[in-house]
Amino acid sequence: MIFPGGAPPRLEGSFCGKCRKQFVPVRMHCSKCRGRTDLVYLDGCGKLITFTTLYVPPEGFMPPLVMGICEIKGGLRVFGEIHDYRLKDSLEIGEAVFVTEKDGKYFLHLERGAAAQPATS
Amino acid sequence: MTKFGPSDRRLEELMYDAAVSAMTDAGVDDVDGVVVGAMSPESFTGDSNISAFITDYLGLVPKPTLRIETASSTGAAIFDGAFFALASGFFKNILVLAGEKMTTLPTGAATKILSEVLSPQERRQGGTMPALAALVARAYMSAHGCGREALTRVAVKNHANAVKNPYAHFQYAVDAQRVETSKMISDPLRLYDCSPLSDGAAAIVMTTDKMPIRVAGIGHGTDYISLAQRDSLTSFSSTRVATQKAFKMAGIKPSKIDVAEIHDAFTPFEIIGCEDVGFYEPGTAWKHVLDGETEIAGPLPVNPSGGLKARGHPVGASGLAQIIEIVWQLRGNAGARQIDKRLRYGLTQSVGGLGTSNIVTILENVA
Ligand SMILES: [Zn+2]
Repeated sequence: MIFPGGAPPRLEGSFCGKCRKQFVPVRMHCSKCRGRTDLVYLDGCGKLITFTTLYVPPEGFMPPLVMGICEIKGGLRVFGEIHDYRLKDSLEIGEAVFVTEKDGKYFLHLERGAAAQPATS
Repeated sequence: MTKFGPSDRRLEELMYDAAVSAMTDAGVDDVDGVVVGAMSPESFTGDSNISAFITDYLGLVPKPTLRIETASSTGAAIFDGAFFALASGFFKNILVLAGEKMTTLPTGAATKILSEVLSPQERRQGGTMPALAALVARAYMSAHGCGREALTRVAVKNHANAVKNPYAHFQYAVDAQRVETSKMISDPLRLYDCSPLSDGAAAIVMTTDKMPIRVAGIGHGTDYISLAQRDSLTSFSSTRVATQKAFKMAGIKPSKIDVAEIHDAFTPFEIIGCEDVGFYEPGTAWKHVLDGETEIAGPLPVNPSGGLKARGHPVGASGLAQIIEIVWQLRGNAGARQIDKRLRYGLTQSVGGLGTSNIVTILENVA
């Protein structure tokens, strides 16, 4: 995998050492054992497992709003907005994506095409 | 229960109407307590302290009352809660009463209120119930080779059933073309895949006395609030947990069920629900739907009332309306939509939120 922007995107998450469970977004306590989690940086590369284009968004959002869920390395799934709505009609389950986060929102970027420019933080 | 659909009646008036019809049906003038269900009266109509307000409005002060809320399974949750209260032996009869008044607000505002049941991150990014249901629908359809025609068949069937239900929001039939050319809401879900915003109320009097219809089993399960963090996107674990508990309590197998009301807030949820309650193997229910098995004349009628899709979905009341339909079907007084055979067991499955608090109830005809 080649990242024109440099190293793979790192995603801030939580990890429970006891359950070996990862979380994005960050959470203080594990959803399985209630134990305290540690802050970790995850590799945000993965594949798209489902997606939709919402034409009737809630107040404060503009249609079309394209969203999906991707599965990153280790099996963790992240819900996010597809970064470029113009790709809505060509998305495919299983295609390579990477996740970035900005202000508590998650964006799924498609690997294909020149637009694949991950934000590095 | 009241007719579902847009109404001029206020929430308390709808709930009054439902309560009076239930108490009349039960032949009781008084009850030991009132369990009230409503999902978001605070947001929809600005009413809080709703259980005391309704108990006063019904002329039942100083009876104890409480409110239970589990998002869109609220109507089933109050039945669940009242059942265990009665089982404690401290009560003899309880009025369970649920209602929602949703059509006072514009659709965008109502959609936003409904999306507040989702995880904070998913809704912060514009996630709504239809959008997350669409993510589940696409995952299911892709994993199991289910095509558009199965979703269409659910909508066509449920509308056809609702034509014969005087309580239904939509008492008209739709054909496949109308469903498949309706407005795209969240791809692949179209307008006719989605239940409507409705007003309405439902009520039942539950008692410890021997009655012709008894509660055979109840189960309740939960799941993680974030859809992305579930173990499966093609099945609801909360329904599976609830199903296991309900059948264990009833001491029967899913094959004994004669009729079911399944939470079809979105057409694919009826298909997935039929698998989660054990009627069909995972990934196969859509084929049985296409074979007509779940129609009123089929071997396992599902949503003879028209379901949430066509009976309507006053969000806090639907779970109880499902139970009422099963009571009517088991008693044999479901009118023109009555299933024409002897019915012993009926099942309801109610989904709270996007599958976060799901309840399965099994009723038995012991007459
Ligand atoms: Zn843990």
